[in-house]
Amino acid sequence: MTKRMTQALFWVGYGLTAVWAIALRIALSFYPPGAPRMFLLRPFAFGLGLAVANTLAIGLSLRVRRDFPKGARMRLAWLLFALSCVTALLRYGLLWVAATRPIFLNPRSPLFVGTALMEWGSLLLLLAALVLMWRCFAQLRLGRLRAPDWLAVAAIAIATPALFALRESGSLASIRSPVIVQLQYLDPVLIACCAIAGIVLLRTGRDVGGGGLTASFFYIGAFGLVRLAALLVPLLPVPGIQWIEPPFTAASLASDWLIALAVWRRWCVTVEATELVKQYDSEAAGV
Amino acid sequence: MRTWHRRLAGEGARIRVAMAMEGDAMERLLAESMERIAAAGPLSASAAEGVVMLRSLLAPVFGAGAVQAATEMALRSAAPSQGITGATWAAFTAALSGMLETICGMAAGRLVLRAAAALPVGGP
Repeated sequence: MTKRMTQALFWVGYGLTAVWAIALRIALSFYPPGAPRMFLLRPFAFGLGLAVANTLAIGLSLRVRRDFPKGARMRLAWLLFALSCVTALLRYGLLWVAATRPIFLNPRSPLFVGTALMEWGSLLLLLAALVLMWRCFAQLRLGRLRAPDWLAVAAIAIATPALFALRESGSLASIRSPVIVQLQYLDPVLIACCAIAGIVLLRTGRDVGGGGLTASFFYIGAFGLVRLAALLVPLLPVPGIQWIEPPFTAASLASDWLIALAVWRRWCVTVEATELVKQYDSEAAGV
Repeated sequence: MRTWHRRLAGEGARIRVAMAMEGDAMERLLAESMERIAAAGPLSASAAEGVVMLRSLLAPVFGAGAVQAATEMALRSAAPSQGITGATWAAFTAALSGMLETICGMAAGRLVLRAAAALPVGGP
């Protein structure tokens, strides 16, 4: 399969999961909680798409990890990356169990506390992995923030209190399913940190100057920024643009596919390098 | 030096066209470019020319900025005072291999060593 076709498959996965998520949100207004419904429209059924994305990301990040020597900082970073995806996968599994068994739908259930903690754990592991990766690139003086980057970081820092206000106002709780409420219950500080990490990684990607590494950083950066944008869009003080909220929410809910894309593009770099080494070896053997 | 520059510019133009192609087609073109450079004759290059060639070969895979940063660091560590020469070439390629291995993995490090060994660097 060609690289372009594989990339297209990842985007199809992202698109389908996003559309599925938003279709479920619409379906919630038609089906009362607990009413029977077809599998595709059951609460959190789109979690299957997220599970596929995370499974791909785990497999590929463990392969990338194996390409670094023991004790290397980047090897640890890719292990943390894989663990972050494992935690996310477990969380989606728990949410699916909760969604398919009405007995667990009590928002005070320990199950939801567990999933909230897992979300924290997953994002913290991801942040730790990204910081370690960035430190490796910073040793080569790549990824140093310039004035526009600092402005973006300041804008995110200013926007973060607004996210707290959104959470306290309870606008997210107006969505009927507690499962979806739990899914969207993202800590503003962690989301802001992910978005700031996104700014840093976008800068690192630009400094790297093209190729698979740049693409990989672009997707991880986009992951952080898409999640922040989905929370900020409802706060925009512009009347008549409520229609832009669903696409942002859908893109945010399915954004694990961006992580899968990032890891796949990074893995492609290792594959290309390995193929070229084989080519040199075969040429050397032929001489 | 002018001859090498002409050859690399020609191959660079082909690689730029290849960046818009499918992965398989790009790999084929890259391999053909390397064969053409090898078939162009056993011209002996200076170490400075070797650095330019090595960067041209590595940049499409790892990114021009990353390769440039790693090259500058490797030059500083392997040839800090007298600059890159045939005598410091091996130390430079080992340092460059280590730098790229740090961020891109062991396959990248091996590729640097193989590509450097294949280059006809012999002069000062």
